Amino acid sequence: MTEKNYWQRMRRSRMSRRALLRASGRAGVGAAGLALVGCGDDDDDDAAVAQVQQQQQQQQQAMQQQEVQQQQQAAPAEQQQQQQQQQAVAQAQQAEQQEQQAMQQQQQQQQEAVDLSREGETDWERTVTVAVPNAVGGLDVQAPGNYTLKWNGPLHYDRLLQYDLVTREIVPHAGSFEWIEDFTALLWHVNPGHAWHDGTPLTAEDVKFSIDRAAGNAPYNESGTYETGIAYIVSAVNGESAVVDDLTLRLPVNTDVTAPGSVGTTMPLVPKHLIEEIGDEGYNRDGMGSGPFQLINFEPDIEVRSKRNDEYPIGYDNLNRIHRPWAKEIVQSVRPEPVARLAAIQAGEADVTPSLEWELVQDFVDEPGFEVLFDPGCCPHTIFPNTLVPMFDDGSNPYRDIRVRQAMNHAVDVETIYTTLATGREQRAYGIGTRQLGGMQPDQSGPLTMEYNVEKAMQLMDAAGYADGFESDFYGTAGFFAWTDQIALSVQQYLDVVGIRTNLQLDPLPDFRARMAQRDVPGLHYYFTNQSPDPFQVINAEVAEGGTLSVAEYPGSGIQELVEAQRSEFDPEKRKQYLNELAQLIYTNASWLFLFETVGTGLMSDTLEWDMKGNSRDYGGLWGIRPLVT
Amino acid sequence: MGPQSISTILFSRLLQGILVVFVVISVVFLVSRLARNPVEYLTTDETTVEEKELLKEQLGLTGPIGIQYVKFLYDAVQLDLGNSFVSDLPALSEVSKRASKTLQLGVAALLFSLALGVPLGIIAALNRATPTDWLARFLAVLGQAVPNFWLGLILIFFFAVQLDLMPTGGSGGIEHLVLPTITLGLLASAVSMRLTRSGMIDVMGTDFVRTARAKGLRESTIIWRHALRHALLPVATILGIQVGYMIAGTVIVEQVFAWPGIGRLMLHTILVGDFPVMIAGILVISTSIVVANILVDLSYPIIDPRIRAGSR
Repeated sequence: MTEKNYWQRMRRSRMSRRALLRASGRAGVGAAGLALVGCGDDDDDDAAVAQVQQQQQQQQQAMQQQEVQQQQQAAPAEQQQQQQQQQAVAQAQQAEQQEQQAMQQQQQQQQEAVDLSREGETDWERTVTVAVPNAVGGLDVQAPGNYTLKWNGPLHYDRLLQYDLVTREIVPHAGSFEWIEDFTALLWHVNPGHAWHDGTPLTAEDVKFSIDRAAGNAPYNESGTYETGIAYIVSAVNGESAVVDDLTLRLPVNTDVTAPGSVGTTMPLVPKHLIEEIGDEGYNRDGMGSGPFQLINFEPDIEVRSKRNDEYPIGYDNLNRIHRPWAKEIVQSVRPEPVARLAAIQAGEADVTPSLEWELVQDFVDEPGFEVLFDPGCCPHTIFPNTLVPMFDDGSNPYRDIRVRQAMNHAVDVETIYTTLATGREQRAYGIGTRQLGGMQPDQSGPLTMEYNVEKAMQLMDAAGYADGFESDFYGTAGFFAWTDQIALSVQQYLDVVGIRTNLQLDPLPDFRARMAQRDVPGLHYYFTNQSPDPFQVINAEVAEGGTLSVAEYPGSGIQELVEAQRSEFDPEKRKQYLNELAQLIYTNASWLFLFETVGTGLMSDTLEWDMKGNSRDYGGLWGIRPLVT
Repeated sequence: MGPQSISTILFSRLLQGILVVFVVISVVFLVSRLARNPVEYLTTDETTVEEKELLKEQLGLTGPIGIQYVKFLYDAVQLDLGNSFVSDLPALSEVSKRASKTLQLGVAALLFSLALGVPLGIIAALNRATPTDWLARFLAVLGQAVPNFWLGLILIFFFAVQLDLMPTGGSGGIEHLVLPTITLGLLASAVSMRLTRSGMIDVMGTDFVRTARAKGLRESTIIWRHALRHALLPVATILGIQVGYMIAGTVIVEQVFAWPGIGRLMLHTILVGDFPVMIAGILVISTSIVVANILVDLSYPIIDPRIRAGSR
């Protein structure tokens, strides 16, 4: 299976355009080349590769033609004739070779798909029971509250694009896109074969309806009385979308490189025909999607039963992306209490629980019959100092001084915290988010320069004029991730040693976040940067000046300039460069107190196979569970 | 007591009950509005302040709290408590779906507590100051001292994981009800046992019991037909209060055993600030407690004929 993703797609489009312009200029076939770029249909992976190959061939052909033309001018007529014949034969041979290669490639892909399904080892008839903490809400995935429900959305509903779980790149799902009209509009292509669970094909009309409905502008809702609460995810849309044909939609957007990711990966697709038939309330009760599983029974807070969508068009040829499930049925059985979830696995009532604290599962690492799930790369723990408002009566704010922020980072022994309180498999936090963010590859992050060094921390405090330290409020959350209260207490103790005396207050996440979003509460705010593959979400929310949770802003540091630069840079290579510069600048500026990236844990029966690949917090990854023949 | 008297008592209790429910939901309404912001739960990091304000408006959380309150009361008397902020389904229907489950568990736990506590109290009273009495009292203290959260988990590991006799949680057949019933009912049975024991000790020393013995009545008749009736009055009184404790206990027990009742729903709604469901749940719970207490009041004349006679 060939790779084609968010980062590469733009590069291909731009590079091929440039290359073709160059080649066409040489060969005098510029018009033909441009037409090819404009018309290139790359809405499925094979087609995309074919397009790139075709473009490369055309470049070669154009250059060959140019050479031939030059030779023609000099050569006698007979020689020209012979050369033309030879050329024709060569072209025919080349075409034949290409055809053979394509057939071989296709056969190889089919073979890989069969191999990857490992048919003989898979128990295709098995029902897998997953112990989950809750399953409440309604079935309308676009409604407020329901949108964030893990047990429903990713399992039963498709989106236009998805994240590759390993590369963290944005790749096609139910659709794909191409930029048109100088990056002012997107052409969405619905991948053929996707259908709603009642068998109705998913079309561009559904995509248009989903976007309009998400924005609160669905045609049946002109009064705007029904609001989904997710209008912000389609805020990049800039005008009326237009259905070009059954599988194509033109969508005008703001000139912002993040628009495809915003609309494509975060907006669940909903069926126009069903919602028009049964209404919003009806859809909330009897929701239906087009995803890898089909919902067959939902008893709130008891169980969610879903069956494999055997007609799902995405097969087993790339296991890092959403594909047709292996398990015949998935039952999400609600067990709110973590110890009860553990008991359910031990008693054989459940096969897997994706979310169980390390302290509960660590004894099962070498236990026969069980497998402990480790899920690295999630949500770095980060402490944001508020630099926006004064802390003291004289208008000063110590956190505006880089030396104080560096001192904070030197003061905390992060490795000891995560080896004693967490699994010990964690990685130090760095830059914008996790090292798995798209555009920020692990080898592209800078060195960790702020190691644990109390003496240096105290020197920095002294140099900043805070030898006697200062008092600061310190806000944290309780219960969002495991151990956050204990981590906060540890950090408090470490900071105290260098003179940063904090008053710690732990609140439930909604209360904490509401306070942080006010942006005018001085002190330290212990929150997390998320794991979204494209960093635009975390940048917009926590880095950009004026972001919803941006409390640590550093005018003049160059951070905002890089934020703007990456936001409007359509060349993926340049954007990657900006993102890496931004990540390094955030770190070298000691913008935050960097702790560590979360490693989620869970427990599973050894009769299953499931590489979570960063999906522990997203039960949508249940399609990746493979029951083994025992 | 004539029919007039019963209806008078009933009317008076109903009025009191309505007042209690009104005060309770009013307090919950005002406190929840001041204490929680559900919009934060319903949005993500990226949601802007303007979008949050818009959502707040859609959820009816803007405007003076007095006006919100009046509107709430107007809708509440028509049994319209709004839609859940989370599921967007009618709040009262969300709660009523769970009510039957909690009722099942509550009734089972209450019966369990009486079935265990009352006989144990009688045995302890009849064997006063013997090892049997000590053992019964020890069990009662244990029942009161053990937190039901811990007890539930221990029962799960022993009966479900080790012995594989019971399911670890969930709902369905009668087997799912056993462990949560024991967990919830044990505390109440300890209270019933102690009250029955002390009541029986008092009653067994009274003149009418001595007279009954002198008349040659069998001991079992004296105990079950005469003494127990008197001894059960404080148990009946405490039952009304126990209903409240049990409903409070369901929050924990339902959480541990994944029992899909009101208690678990309430916990979730409180965490996320789902006001409509929270208030609907409180309405159902407070009404249940009021009704239980009215039933207890009405049961006195049945348990003790002297009350019936005295009211004439």
